[in-house]
Amino acid sequence: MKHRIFHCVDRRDISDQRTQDRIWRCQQSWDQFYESGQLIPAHCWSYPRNAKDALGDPRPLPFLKDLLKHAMNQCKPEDIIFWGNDDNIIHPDLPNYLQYHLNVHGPCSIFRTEFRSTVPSLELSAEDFGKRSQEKHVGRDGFAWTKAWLEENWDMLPDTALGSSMWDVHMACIVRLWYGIKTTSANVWEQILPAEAPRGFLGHIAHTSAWLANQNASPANLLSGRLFKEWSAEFLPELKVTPEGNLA
Amino acid sequence: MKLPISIFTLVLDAMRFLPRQLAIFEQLQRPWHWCIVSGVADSVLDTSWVSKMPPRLSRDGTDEWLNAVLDHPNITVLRRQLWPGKNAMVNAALSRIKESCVVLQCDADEFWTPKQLDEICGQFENTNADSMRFFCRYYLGENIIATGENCWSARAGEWHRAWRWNSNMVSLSHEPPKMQGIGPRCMTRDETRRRGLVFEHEAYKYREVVAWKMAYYKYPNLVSQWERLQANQHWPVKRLADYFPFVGEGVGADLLP
Repeated sequence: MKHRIFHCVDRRDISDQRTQDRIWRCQQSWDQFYESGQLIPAHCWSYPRNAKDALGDPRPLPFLKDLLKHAMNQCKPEDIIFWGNDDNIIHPDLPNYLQYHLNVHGPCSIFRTEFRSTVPSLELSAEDFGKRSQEKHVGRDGFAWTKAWLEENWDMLPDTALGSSMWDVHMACIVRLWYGIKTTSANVWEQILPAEAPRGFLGHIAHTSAWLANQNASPANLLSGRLFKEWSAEFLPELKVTPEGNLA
Repeated sequence: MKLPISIFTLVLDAMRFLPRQLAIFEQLQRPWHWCIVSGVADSVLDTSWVSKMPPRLSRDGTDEWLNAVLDHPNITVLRRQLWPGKNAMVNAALSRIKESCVVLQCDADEFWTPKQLDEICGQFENTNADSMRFFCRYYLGENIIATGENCWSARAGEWHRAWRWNSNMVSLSHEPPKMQGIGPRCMTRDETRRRGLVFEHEAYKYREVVAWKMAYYKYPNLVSQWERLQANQHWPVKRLADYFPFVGEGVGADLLP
């Protein structure tokens, strides 16, 4: 079955030219998919809620569920919603891989493939593209689900702000558990099929993260940490999570 | 067999117009196809004078609307966040045409009636015209239109909008439209006007569109100039340049009859 794949991503005006250039360097990889129709853009510019107004966070971060709703409102149940960061480099093989993965297995998370500065050629296979990464990153930069899956599992998903720490790991744990895979502090770094796509499909150029400076103190991070801790206490009690919601 | 019509439209933030366009095209009694090319055009070549915009798709609901019509059998949507110029957008649309037809450039703010579109096609069926130019009713507000001929809004070369397609057809420039591979017989504006083929051009009809043009075409103070025109109490305006300095001489404005 050929699915339509909606590319769900939050967009915002960026005044800083360097950031704009970095992000466009990544987003250039998207246009071929939009033109061919392999990905259907579901860009969200107007957020119903943001972390600044809703939580008092310094950053007006959008909420994950609002973005998903924006994409879901444009979809049929069998359509795929692929959420990604706005600074993902998308490997040319990702759309076909998602078609395969969601047909054969179901939802998946996609690890970040981090590059310090030089990004290898996208003509490399995703596997070789991934091998050129200078570090193994624990972060997930993308998820793919069908709309039907999201509807069935909606109440389980964290109602948290994007850009906050740990929400991606939390979501990865949910996807894993749906397959019956229990996340541990040790295996959280591993790519485990079918919960995770192989590394190399989503590139990212390293930059200073806005949330690293004061990782645990911001309201958005506190909310994400609390939601992760509460979820793991109920569904994954053997997972060691600190009071701040980080993996022990 | 009626000649099909293949319409192309370049769009960015065009939500105000597109649903109305579709409602018109769906009334056509002949085969039709609409190719919508969406995204920012880089300011290069014939449109190098416009503002450079950060790459993006529309942010006014246009792309959500396009997603809703993706499965429409008569519509093709081509999207990039950044196209290498408007001409490349036109050629992307032309490259999708595979059969003899009438090609119509219909900008988002340009409106024809179904009967007029049928008449355009009829002229291509019954004459040897290779292309057509048209007059338009050029809106400067909800009920204000530009007046004058061979002046801003109705220059001699404007508005070249319809062509008899052939497989060698390539766009050389978008502003003004220049097509390579098209024969020389162009039906003039006077001829098309005699047949009732004058379209509605809502170029400056709405405030938010005017604000958009102010940023894109780099017309300083355009919104305040436009608001002053809307507030005018003495019609007709003989010299539109008193409001819009960039239009030059020879063009006025009046209320809709």
